[in-house]
Amino acid sequence: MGATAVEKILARAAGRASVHAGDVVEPRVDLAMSHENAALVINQFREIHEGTGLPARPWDPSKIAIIFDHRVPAESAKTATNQKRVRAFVAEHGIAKFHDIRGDVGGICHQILPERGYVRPGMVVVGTDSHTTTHGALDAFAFGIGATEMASVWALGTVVNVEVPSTIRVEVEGSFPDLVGPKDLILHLVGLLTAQGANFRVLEFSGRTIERLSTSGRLVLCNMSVEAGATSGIVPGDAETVRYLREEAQVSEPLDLVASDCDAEYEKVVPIDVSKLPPLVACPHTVDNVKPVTAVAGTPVQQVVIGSCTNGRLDDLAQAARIVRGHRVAEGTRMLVFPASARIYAQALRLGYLGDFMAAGAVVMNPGCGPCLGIHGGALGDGETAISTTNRNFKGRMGNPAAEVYLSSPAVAAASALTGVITDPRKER
Amino acid sequence: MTLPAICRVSGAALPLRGDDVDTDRIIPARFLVSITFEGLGEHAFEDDRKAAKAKGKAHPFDDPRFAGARILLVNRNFGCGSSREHAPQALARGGIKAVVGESFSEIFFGNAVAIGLPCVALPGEAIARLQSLVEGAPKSALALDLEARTLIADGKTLPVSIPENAREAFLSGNWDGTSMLLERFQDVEAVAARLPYVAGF
Repeated sequence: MGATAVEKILARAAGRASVHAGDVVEPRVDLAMSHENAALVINQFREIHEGTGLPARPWDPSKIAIIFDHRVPAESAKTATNQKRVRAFVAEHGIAKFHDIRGDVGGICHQILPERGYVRPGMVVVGTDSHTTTHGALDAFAFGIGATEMASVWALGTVVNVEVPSTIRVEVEGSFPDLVGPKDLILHLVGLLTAQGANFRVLEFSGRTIERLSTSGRLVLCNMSVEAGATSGIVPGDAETVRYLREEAQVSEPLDLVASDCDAEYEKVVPIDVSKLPPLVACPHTVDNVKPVTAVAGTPVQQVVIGSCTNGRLDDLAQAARIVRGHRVAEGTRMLVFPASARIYAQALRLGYLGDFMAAGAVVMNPGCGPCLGIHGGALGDGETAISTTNRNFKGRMGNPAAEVYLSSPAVAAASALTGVITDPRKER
Repeated sequence: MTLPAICRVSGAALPLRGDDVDTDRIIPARFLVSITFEGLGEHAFEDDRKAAKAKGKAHPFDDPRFAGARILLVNRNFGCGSSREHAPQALARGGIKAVVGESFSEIFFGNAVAIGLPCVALPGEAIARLQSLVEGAPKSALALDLEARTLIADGKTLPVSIPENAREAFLSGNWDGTSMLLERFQDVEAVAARLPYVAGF
């Protein structure tokens, strides 16, 4: 019996010849990522060493990445003090993969890890963030864990008790229609599988559409795999994986791509043809409440958000800028744009996208998690509605349980900003 | 220091209805700024509780009939969304000692194991019956037995399911990093010996 890419990655990481779905393994970790919640991990890490006589030093500081993105720049004295504590820990242990609040190398963890070449094919990546699934786009097995579990990873360099997940293969064929893209595909899939349909399973993306899809689009698919409950998403490595790592992430070391065997065992195969897919939206208050944009077109929106670890990349900003260029954001609607990293911010600035947004009346914010989780700028008022390119629309997510959030692609969000109501971008152009 | 094995949890139950209850609802993001989990217990479901109060209703967590409950009864895909460990911490610090539901989100489940909060599954119809039972008779005591994989309620014994590795961790007291490190002290020392800055410490 053959093996899936994830089974191969886990076998190698656990020092076994082969593993299969259902086996319990303890893989070594190649990259352990935290954001501001590193403060919590540090606390738990020190606690588990208390009384053991061992110094509280992480197993391998070169494999730890800490990226400030959730509350940047600090929104309160308490956050600033936590960030200061993390900086002290980073300095004490020589953690080089540290991205502070900076306009040159800062950004959202799920963009920094790929663009800096920290994630490579075949790696086991854990992060104290549920959207760690994102990094499967580069042929890694990447999943989210809690702070206490991360403290034990820092001590041991392994994750204990990992049950090898079974894999659902998503076979995607067809060409995306104009103004329809990866965000619509993943919303369609989450709607199809439901919020728990992929619990304890991996979503492996394959098919000709995926082969032709850029890494930026693949990151969108893996990012939101967790919204169907998946342990992780993965796109087995191919020519595009190598191109991205060489050209965009400037990785020069040899790369070891991991592919699934032809006779690998899948729990099921979900075929999707995107050639007839319309622009979609996830309606309040669950990500699997997916409808065609036409079903909710005309709904007034007071805020439009473009950015995040889901859709804050250069191609997303390019698509939105093309739509708003030369037009004005509707009166009574606020448009917020937050690029996923400082690098993308600089590229968008150079290409004129940020100028397009500002001329149209949008506010360009610094890279970070920003309005997505509503604790740091961009909160909604009581009874207000937003359309956003982010990944979650749970009640209270954008800072107010008395508000509503719709999720969409950058094209739908940008078109809606110009009209002040949810708008089908195909109609507006 | 060794951790206590967790074999049984018994006591009154608290029914919390709804599928896909996400961690943003269990503990809103504004409470994540703390670097310890202390005091989180009182904030569990804070926004849902406020909303219920505004409508003149009592959220189950504010309903005096369920005060002191130790077993939380939930529906499908409980704890989906953000990986925040604050969610099971808030429940545990609020007095919940076990969660019984139709299914759980993976990261929530892992975080719950790491802090010693067993989550076991029952079929949807059984959960619905238990929730109705407890709503009608709030002080009914339930008894969860991880060793036997059973939940005793209303005189009936129901078989519950829980992944075997998690069950073993609870029964052996190896459910968190501290006990695991102690158990595997040699591994840790071996790693420490390899690190140039720890060797000779």
